[in-house]
Amino acid sequence: MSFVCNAPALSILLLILAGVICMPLKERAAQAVCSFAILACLTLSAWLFIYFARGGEAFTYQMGHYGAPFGNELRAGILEAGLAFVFCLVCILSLMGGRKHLQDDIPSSKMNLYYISIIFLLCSMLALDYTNDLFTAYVFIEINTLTACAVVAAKDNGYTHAATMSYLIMSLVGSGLFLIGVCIIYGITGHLLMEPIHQVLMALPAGSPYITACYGAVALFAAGLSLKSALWPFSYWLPAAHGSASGTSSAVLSGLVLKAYILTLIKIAYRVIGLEMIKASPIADVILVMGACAMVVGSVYAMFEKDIKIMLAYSSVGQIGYIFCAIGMGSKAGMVAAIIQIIVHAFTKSMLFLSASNFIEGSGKRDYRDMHGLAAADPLSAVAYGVGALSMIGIPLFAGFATKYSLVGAAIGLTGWRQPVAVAAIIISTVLTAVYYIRVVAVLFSISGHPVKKHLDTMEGKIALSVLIVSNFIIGLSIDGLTSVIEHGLQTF
Amino acid sequence: MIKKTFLALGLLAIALGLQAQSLSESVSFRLNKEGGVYQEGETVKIWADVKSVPADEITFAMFEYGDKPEKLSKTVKLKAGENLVFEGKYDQPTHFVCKLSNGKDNSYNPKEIVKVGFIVSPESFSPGFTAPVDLDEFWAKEIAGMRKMPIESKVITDKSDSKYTIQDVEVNCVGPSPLKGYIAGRGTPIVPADPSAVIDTSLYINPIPTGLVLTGIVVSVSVTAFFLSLTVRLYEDYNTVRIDEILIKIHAKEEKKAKGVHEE
Repeated sequence: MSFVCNAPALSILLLILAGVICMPLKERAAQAVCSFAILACLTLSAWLFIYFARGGEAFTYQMGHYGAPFGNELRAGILEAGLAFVFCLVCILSLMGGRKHLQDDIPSSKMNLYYISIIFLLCSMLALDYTNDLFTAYVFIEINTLTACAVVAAKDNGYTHAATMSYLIMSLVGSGLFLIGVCIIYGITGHLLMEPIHQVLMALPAGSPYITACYGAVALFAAGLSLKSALWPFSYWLPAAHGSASGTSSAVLSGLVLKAYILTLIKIAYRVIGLEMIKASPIADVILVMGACAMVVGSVYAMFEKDIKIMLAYSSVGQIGYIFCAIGMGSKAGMVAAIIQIIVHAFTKSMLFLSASNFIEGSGKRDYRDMHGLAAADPLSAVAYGVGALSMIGIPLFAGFATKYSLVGAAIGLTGWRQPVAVAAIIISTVLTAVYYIRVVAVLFSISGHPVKKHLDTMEGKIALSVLIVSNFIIGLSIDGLTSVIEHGLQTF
Repeated sequence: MIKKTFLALGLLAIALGLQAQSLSESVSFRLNKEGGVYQEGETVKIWADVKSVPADEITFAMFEYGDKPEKLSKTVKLKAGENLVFEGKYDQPTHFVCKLSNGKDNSYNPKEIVKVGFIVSPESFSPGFTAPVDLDEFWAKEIAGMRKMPIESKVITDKSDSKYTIQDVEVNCVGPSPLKGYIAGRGTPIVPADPSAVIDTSLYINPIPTGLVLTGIVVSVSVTAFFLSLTVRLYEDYNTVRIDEILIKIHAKEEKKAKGVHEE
């Protein structure tokens, strides 16, 4: 086993350490520690990704060398390494792009606490990415919940506090459901590690009453995690929380946090229950229908919303619907589409939130109709928003096309009533998405302009937005490569 | 100051010296019957001669173990050169134990306990529990129970007597560590003394449920703290903790915003 195999454990431990170190530090020092830790994790996951890309085999990493029945395990393959890379990259870019807003929203004396929250948030996401143990997943889901709520509440006003309250309550209901699911699975199998659970479940005789209980547990996992990742109709908390938070917080929450839960669900579907069992149960169909509804309903809500950030938050509801719809297809192609959408949406939505925050700062208004001609004042943000919008619609060359392409491909492979439902949802949602994004872009690039209040020209923010724009194109141009990497990753998942 | 230090060191040295010499070495016991095994009704006479005393005096506590668990029959303090005579007649099976202490405190060091004689009467001897009806079944059960325990037996041969070879069998539990939790006979699995002893997982307490409960407690405490701090903040923002009033205030603010009055 080469040294790079320590990367998963090291990156998690490094982030925990960095979080503790930040505790007594002042703003600048905490910022440096935070950036260093995230960059180190970025490097580690890139290194791990290269190791797998050169033919390294997926491995199980035993924490402290304790074996299967008692020990705790991490598992890494090319998919986990790639997603960890995406998580770290989007996180650092969101921090860079939103630093200006953070400094306005959060008092400098409390800035280190914000960095601690971000560090632990990323730490919990990486742990959810790498872990091979259901209960470890639960613990990090709780850490994720608490830090995500802290990140929302950091913008210290009444509205965010109320939003955090509802976010926290809904999140805790979700993790409670997840915990009950873990308890049922543990009661049936006596294991918490994913592979031993799978073995025990496979050994259950057909018609055993435990299989029904097991479906109950799967339903609880699905309900809990979809509640936390805001699948419609459990999404009422999302617009307030994501829309009212500071720019970086919105970008990280919408771009990454929701995805970490979905990734956990995919992991459970693959490693714990097995795709065959999921397909044989009605749960997959329920997820498919709810995802399809979310795609349409989220877009409809976004159409009627005037607040630019809340509109983006509703758009997230719709985009999460795409992921769940793809998972609900229960096929390999569907899973590939879901993971492509996770990656694409992480890059695109964080870019949209960052540029929207810049517009709010520049115009002093939250209503997109008050943003006429902002493109002249802040061209880079406007271009970023335009690229994000076109990507969301699914225009070729942009990242979003990868999602639409793979999703439609997966939908065509469906049988029975599922095929028309999925295809119709994709078409309706795409049209609606086009309507509400294009009108904002049109306003931004209109000629009649309002006077701009503030100019945002920090170098850091510009670099972040440029990198996000470039990566959007890179993803859009490398659909085949992305698909083959994900397919390879899922084979060894 | 230096004098005091030396004095303290000297006292310490004396104390250590006292610790080093065993009390039981300085006392010899004689019995009126060779071997120390008596029949019922015989007179038991025990002499304890104090040769040299490490402390000022030795406290002897003579215990009788008969039908009652423990009976303190005599406590005597002796100095060097003195001796103790212990005499009595017994109808019950009894054995005598002499516990020695240096007289300063009444705690008995387990090393300083000397068994000095016992009375047997095979007719009235009972081992303390009723005999099983079916002995074969009883032993089969006992052996099965013993086999489950990861044990290690060691035979220590002592040839001190020319006529007999005395074999002492020492049985040690090598599997689970002695920290047993609350299930009798079961240990924690994490650190077995010998990893190869982990043969049968049914022997161990599973630590995971405990871990689950503890994690649940930690999570609930931290979440409660978070909720309380949020409640404080909401009270500061809206001057009320009633959720309907807060919602009305938020709603009013939003309506204001929709009419075009922006907060800045």
